[in-house]
Amino acid sequence: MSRKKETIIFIVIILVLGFWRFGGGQQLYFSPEKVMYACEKGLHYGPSEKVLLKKQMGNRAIVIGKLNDGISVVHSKRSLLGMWKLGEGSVTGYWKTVDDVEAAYSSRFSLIYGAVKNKDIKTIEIAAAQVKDGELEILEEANCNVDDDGFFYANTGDYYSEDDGVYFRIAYIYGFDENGTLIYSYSY
Amino acid sequence: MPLPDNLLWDEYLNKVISHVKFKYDRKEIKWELEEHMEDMYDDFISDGMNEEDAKKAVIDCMGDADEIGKELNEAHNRILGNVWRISRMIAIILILLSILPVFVTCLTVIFSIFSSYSYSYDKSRIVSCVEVNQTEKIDDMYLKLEEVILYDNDCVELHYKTWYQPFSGSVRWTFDISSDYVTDNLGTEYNGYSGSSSAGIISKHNTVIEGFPKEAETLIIDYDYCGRKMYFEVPLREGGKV
Repeated sequence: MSRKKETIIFIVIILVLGFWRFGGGQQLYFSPEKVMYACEKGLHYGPSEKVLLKKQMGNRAIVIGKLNDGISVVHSKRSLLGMWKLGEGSVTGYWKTVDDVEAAYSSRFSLIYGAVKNKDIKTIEIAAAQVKDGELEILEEANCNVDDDGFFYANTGDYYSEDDGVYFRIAYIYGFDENGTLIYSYSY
Repeated sequence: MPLPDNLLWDEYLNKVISHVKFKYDRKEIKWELEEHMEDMYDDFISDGMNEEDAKKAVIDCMGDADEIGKELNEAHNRILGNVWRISRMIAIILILLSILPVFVTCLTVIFSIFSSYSYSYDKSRIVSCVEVNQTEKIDDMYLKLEEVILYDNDCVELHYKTWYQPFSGSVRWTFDISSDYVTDNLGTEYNGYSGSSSAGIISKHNTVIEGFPKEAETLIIDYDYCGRKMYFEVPLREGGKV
């Protein structure tokens, strides 16, 4: 067999086995965004119209995408050869905006994020908290502007803990209209 | 026949291969030319020529070393040679890395094809079993509803399998037909379901939904989620026994 033919066969083998071992077959992707789109396809929603936010912390990343009635939240982790795979633990995935304001706090990514259904809400006052032994402790308060997509976010300090007795949540959310009038409130 | 002295030939052969820029082929070229020259040498000796003359005659027959070397260099292209060499090395590594996973994958595929569904209740309690064998596709996942079973305790059991199309790039999740998507010709809403799924490339599932009304005739699965649709209509009372 000629060297040319052999080379073609080797390249086909590399493409097929390479994809199977390190690509889609092993669910490894070139970027956190690609993980999000692949996750959406696997969970049968989306695809996101666009990426609203991508935040990378070390070898982990969170990507938030815009859906027509909510957001898509998928976290990923760096893997072999700089590729990315779905992060461990539960995945938020499709988050439909049901209430006027939906928000979450991710201590792993030091991030408060959310989506607004009520278009009159232009700014958000929000607090991230931790609950330990039944006691809620506010960790950080933030003011966020709601963008044209109804999305808002704020970066926080690092409060991540692997202590099973601690969990993190939103303590309160206040939504204001363009005049600064309070039109939405939620508190734990 | 053993050669008495190879110095002359060595010099000639080294001159030929010095023109070949793809150095990984030099050894093989030299070996092949040497074989050819030895055959010629044997022929000359058997024709009655003495050893020294035969050695020289071989070189004369072979021709100009520079000319041959240049021709061989063209035939053994350095770029193609390097691509061939590197691709061969990567392919071998990948094949070695894949032997065990391929074996395990083949086993799981064979197992998932030939394994049978488990029944949640004794088969003697089956009132009706309808073979559906209808396949639907959402995104890059196929779902084949194989059979629907009605038990005498009004439980309905769905047997179906799911698999992803080859080279699917999506993150693979277990997929269940939940009771949210199940109704009947009377419009009954079902709350809650139980079931199990097998792992593997072809995943087999059984889902049990309780409380199928005695008056209902048709089970309807109407999956409509984020623009993905699947629809099955099963005349549940028309089935036979297993």
